[in-house]
Amino acid sequence: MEKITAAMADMLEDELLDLTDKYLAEGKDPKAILDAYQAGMTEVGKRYEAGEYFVSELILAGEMMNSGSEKIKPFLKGGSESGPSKGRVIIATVEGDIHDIGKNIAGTMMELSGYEVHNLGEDVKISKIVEEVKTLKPKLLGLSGLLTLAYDPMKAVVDQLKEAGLRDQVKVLLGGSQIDEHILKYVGADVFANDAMTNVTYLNSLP
Amino acid sequence: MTTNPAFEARQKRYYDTIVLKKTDMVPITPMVDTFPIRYYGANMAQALNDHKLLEDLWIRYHEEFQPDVADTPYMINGFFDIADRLDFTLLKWAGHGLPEEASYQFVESEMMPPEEYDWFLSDPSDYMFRRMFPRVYGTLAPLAKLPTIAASYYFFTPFIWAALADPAFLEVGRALVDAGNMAAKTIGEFVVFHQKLADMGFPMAQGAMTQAPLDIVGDYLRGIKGMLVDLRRRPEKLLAACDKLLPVMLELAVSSAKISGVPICFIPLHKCMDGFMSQEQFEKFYWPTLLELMRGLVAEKIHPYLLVEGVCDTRLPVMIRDAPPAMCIYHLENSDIFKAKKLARDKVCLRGNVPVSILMTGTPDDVRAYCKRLIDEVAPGGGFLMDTGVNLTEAKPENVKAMFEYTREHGVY
Repeated sequence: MEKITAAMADMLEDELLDLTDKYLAEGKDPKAILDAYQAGMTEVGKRYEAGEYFVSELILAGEMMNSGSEKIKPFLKGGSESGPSKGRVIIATVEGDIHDIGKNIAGTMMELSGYEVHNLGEDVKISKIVEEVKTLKPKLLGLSGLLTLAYDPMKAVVDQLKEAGLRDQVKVLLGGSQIDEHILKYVGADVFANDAMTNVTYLNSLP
Repeated sequence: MTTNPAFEARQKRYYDTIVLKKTDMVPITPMVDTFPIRYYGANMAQALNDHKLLEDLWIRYHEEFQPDVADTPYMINGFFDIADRLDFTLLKWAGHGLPEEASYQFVESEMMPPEEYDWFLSDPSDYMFRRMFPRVYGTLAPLAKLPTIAASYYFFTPFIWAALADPAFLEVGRALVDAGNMAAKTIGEFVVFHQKLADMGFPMAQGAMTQAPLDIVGDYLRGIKGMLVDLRRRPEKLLAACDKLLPVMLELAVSSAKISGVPICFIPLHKCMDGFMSQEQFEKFYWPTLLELMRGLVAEKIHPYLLVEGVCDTRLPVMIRDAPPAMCIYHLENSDIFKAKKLARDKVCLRGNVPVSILMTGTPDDVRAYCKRLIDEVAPGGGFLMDTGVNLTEAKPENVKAMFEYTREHGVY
């Protein structure tokens, strides 16, 4: 299984998928193969944090993970394919903004790190986000936006969470390449991320 | 041309700054985007569709703020009617897929699947005409039914025309004629409006636009995800596409600069940000064709004006080292302009970069403090244009005023 983990970590796509086919045909434990994929993914995340890998590798790793899971899934007998969720997360691009790429990469990374991610999509109404927080009670709410026009809706979400008495129950993370400490303060959120792994690191640091 | 001495003075100040000559003061050249619409209290959706109203708002902005270059309301704002008529699917704007106050946004997706690289590489025009147009313009969908024009030698020509007998082409023809008339009308308005601004004393900030070849692949063909996975999955095709696009992007820029008579070409950079790819990949896939494009422009005496979006701190040393000296503007959004200045002296004119986050959420004192640092550390020796990081759009008016006032008072050489 180390070969699977290494192929994933080294971005050797063809080798990884060939090995997967081979192991499945040989009747190896599909759960063990999937675990090896996840171990490879963890290594990819580490290399990204270390500055050896970049967004391009995260995207490709996500696609390799998907192709692999498609192959493995039919062999998993009804059992849960992953361990228990480490916690629930909601992510959304706020009202007025339709950018989705960064949010979706961050979502994938959190999912692959064991979190249950509810992706509400783009241009999501403030009231809808607050409503979902009320219903799903997530550990973390990730608000994404690339454009400056996203800052006011982000602030409105935080304000409405306060009014609804929900602010203390959820951490709010702002995601977007233009977000900085000025915007964090303006919105009244807990933390901001300009990259795809800060989310995971932050989540893992929470009690 | 204009006889207004203020025009001459500003134009000299702007161009001298670009070629790193001494000037009387730091020019202020902000990208205003939709700021005048918000500031003067107009309705966004209405203004974006009313050229007369747009022009009135932009005149008010120039009269009130007296910037050193003219800003145009006709970058994207002037062309929504055409996008609407052709049912262009890659752009959304206020009242048209976006809320009334939300200006405009591009829709980026994988428009060219990987198996179509070879078609694009063998004949990009054919690919654009028969595959991309039908995909991105709803009204041009019937173009997909046409045979290739490249096969239109003598005897086969009638069969090419025969394809046009399909009644669907009547609507294609009408749509194209309408779009042509709309474009001609708007371009005419653009020319008249900029003459008016020139007579008021404001020279155009740029007269052409193009993009880095890899950005064309990432923005419009493969999408960012497709382009980024191609770095590893099909690097040869990606490089071939950049090579194919290089002369096209150069011709676009040179011909527009000749028509406008303004030898400054705007090049917004999208996918070179730190973090998207490794430095090695940047130097192999992104930079070589962009640098060739810049050299091609400089050979035609056109100044490349790069809008370096996001943070590109790791890219800038190479970009500054290789730049054709004393010809280029590098407008930094969130990169460290203070560090860049140390490398850019005698090489590149820096532009920027009062952060939009401060302009939007900070106080006039915060703005003055940042401008002070720019004037103290980036302006000395010349080659500096005071600007915002990226467009002003949601900036607080008192902060924009503080930026102008402080720069006028303290930005004197």
